[in-house]
Amino acid sequence: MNSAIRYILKHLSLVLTAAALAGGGLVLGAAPQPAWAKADAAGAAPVVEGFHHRLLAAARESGPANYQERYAALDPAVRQAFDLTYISKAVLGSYWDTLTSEQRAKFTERLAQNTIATYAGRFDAYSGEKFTMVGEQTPQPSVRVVESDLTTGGGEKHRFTYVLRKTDDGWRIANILVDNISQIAVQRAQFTAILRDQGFDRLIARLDTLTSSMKQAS
Amino acid sequence: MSSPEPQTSPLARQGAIAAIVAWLQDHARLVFGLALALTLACGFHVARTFTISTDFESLLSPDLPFQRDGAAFARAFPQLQNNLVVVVDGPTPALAREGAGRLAARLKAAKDLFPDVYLPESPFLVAHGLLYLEPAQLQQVADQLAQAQPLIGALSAEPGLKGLADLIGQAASSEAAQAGADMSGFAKVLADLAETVTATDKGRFRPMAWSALMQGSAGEGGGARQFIVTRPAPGSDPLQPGEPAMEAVRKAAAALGLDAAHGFRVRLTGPVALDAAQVKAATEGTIGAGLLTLGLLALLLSVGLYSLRIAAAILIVLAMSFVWSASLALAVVGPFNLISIAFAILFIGLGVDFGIQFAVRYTEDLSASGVRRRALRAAMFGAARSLTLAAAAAAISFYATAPTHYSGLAALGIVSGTSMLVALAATLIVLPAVLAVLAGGGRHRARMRYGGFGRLPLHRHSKVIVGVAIAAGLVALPFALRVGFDADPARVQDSRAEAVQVFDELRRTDPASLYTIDVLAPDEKAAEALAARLSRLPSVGRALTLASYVPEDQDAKLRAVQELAMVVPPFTLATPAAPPRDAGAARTALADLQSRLRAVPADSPLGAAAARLGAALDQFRTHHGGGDAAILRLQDRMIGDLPQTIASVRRALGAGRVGIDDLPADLRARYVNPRTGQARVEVFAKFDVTKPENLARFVNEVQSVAPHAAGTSVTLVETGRAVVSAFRTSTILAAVGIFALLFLVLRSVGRVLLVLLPLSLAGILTLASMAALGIPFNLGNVIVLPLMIGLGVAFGIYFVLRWAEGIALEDVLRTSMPDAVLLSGLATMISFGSMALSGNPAMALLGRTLSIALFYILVAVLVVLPAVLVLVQHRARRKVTTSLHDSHNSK
Repeated sequence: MNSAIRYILKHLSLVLTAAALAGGGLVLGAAPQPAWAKADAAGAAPVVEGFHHRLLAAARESGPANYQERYAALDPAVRQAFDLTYISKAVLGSYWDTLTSEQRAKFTERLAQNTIATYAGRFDAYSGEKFTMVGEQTPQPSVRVVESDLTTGGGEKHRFTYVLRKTDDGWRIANILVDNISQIAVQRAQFTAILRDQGFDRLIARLDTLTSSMKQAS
Repeated sequence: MSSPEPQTSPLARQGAIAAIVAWLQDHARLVFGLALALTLACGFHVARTFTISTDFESLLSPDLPFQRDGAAFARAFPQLQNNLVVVVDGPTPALAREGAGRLAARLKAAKDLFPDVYLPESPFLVAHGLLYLEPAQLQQVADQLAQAQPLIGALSAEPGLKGLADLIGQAASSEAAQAGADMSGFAKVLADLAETVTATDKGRFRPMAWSALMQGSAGEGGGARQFIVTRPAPGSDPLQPGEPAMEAVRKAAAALGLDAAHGFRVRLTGPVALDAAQVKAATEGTIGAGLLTLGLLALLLSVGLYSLRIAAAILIVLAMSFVWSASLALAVVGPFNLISIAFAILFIGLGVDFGIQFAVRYTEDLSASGVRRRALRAAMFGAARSLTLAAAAAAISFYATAPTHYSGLAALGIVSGTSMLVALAATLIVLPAVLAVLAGGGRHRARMRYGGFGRLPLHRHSKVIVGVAIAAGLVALPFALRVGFDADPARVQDSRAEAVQVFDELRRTDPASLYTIDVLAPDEKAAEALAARLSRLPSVGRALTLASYVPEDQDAKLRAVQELAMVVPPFTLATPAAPPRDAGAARTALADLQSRLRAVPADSPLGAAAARLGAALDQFRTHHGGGDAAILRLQDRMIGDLPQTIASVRRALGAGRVGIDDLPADLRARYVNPRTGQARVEVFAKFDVTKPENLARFVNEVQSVAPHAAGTSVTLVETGRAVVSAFRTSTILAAVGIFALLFLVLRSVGRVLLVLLPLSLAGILTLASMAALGIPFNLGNVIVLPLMIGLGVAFGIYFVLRWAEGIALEDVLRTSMPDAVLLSGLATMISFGSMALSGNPAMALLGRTLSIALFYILVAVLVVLPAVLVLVQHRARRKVTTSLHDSHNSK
């Protein structure tokens, strides 16, 4: 079964990333009262709202062809909102323990770049998309779940569910579920197979390929 | 040669016998009537009081140390005794678990009948299942779950055919984009779905087993089984105390739809069900087998005795005395046990023999004189002494078991020994009367030809025969000493019974959990210390205490579970509502799925599986059209146990810390007695304990650390030891007793040895043949030993007494006696040898063993003994001649 699910995930990841992040350009609708601006350390929702705001702002303010500009704008946004070390560890699962600290740092950095590139590449134009906050839950004391809906220009709806964990620097995004599909799970299936079958260097190479394909695609 | 000294003068004895026979003949109807009345009364008594105690452990003396240890353990943990185990096989692991849970809840509700209902794979343990895994296993499961998240996440958001179609469609269509990927796993999902579609098409119930797929290949097949352990309150029928509870389980299962139509199989096993099967086999089978045996016996006797009436007389007397013996046994010893019920075998074997010996003598004289009165008297003269001696010898050999610790065997010995005396009395008192009633007085000339053994060329070959016999005995002796005893009651069960089949199945798949050892410790601390020592023993796999149910390394494992909960957030795994009952939407989704499957290129790694699923769906639609009910049923089957699977994953991800006080009360009570604080260590073997040598080693090692260990394994091994020692003791006692009796009567060590010779030879050869054929003694066929002793001694007595009466051997062989011995041996062989053909393997084994033993006895008595007697006679004649010559010379 292992490989069945791995397979599904491997292929879903492409499909879903594309579907969920809505291939067309995105522009933030009239965002009322940006709560994220307050950067409330006690709130998880503002972190998500802040990220949404900066994401759509970058898409709206740079031209469709200006990938580098969007990348530069999203770099700090992603690094601030996401707990990238945690995500990297979660993506590699049990393989994380087999890596040296240099390898871990390298993987974390390349995954961060890939994440930024994915957003920069996907959110490159605006056709009326908007995020609507749905609610916030506290399944565990150190975990918050923030739900929001992305409505595409065509009226299609996708549920974005953010899982945030409390860090020394406040709430940080640890996982995103798009229509109930865990992105860490998707990435884990994608990357651990490469790590296991082909080794660390090929994994980094694969990440780099994916990252640069985002640039070319835009 | 000298003739034996009769204890009373022959004339006086003959006078007394003649008077008795005359009286019996004159009052034949009265005697017959009285016997009949006694039979009716005894029959009524038997019908009223007959019970068989099937408790395996009560077969042995409660004073044996291991029995006391077992009793002490049973007092501390009564719920582990007399269990009825419900084995629930479900269509998928998740559905089996759900079904067993529902059944257990229903049984729990019937508190009067089921005071204790225990679900080993309880919801608590399942919910905390991740914590019970080894760290490496946990990591593996975490990886699997993470990988499965998109699948279950998508399906829980969109249950039904549409979700499935989307998922499969997306995966299948993107497959082309990444050629060269490993597709075998996903192909398996599609193939499995195709199986489900085809099965549904054919009307079979085969829901998609998502839980089995989720568990990985290891869980397939074996994972869909659940157990419910109950301790039912005994019902009112002492013969079938488990029947009400067993019936209640069957009814509950039927009411809950846990049946074949829903892919379920609910079966019963455990001590209660096994006992019920035993009693059923012991009582039900016997009636048919008894009638068959009776018919065969009647046929054999009619042919052998040249008279239907005489055969009938023997069988009538046998039946009457059988009822008397059973009644006497119930009155004196109480309920039968699984061993003592076998007295029937001994009784019929020897009872028929007594009747035959008497009747053959009667027929012999009748054919000579033609006068019935005379013939009856002659039979009495001829048979009374030898039959009395044979009955006494048999009784001694049976009574010899009484002083042993094997109380099951002791009861058999007492019952059978007494029944020998009953059979003797019936043969000597009632048989003449019945013969007189059935045959009347008057004259009769029977057409009989006995004495055929006189024509055997024994004289010329006696040296060869004796030489071969000695050689065979010597060769066989080392083999004979190798016969083992297998005390496992599983070997003597009727394998056609459901309870036994399930038990055997479990024995094959997981013997360690059936053959455990339980050690009673004064408290939990002591139990844990003991478990630590026990688990270091080489033959011990695991030693569990209550504390074993507190997972180790919980900090690390909980961290891992919490991390997993970030990757696979439990809230995303909402149990999907039942798939929408919208047939139209399902039809659209199905069409969508079909077209997506058709789009998969045939040469891609997924091509074959996609084509299979596509073809299966086409078939389904061809056969069932687009009918709403059919479409919705197909959807149900394809969704299968997905909701249950998702729910259990969600619960597992919510696992919290487990402390010893968090464990469920019923689990706790199975390891710690809530009142006394006594604690149990449950010890599992490491090696295959269905092999007796491994079992003995396991028990020995555990006993070296815990001398008071109890439990199934200990009982089996100690029972074997106790039984072997009981047989050793009783054999020695029987040998001494029979020797003393024979010496008292025959007044010559030589003659006593002659009587015992056929038995010894037949015994050695029988045991050696069993060893060579790989037949061990078990609780069933061990009964052959006393029967062999009884018949072997009796036959020896008949021969040697006739010979010692001063009749030359040639003439002995020309009498009816050897024919009677052969007829008697054949009758016993027919009665019980027919069991060799029985479908019940335990009965078949008993029949085979008995046939082997009887064959050797007949050869030893009819061929070897006469040959020995020829040699002895020659020597004696030479001696006599020499001494005559000497005395002549000295004069």
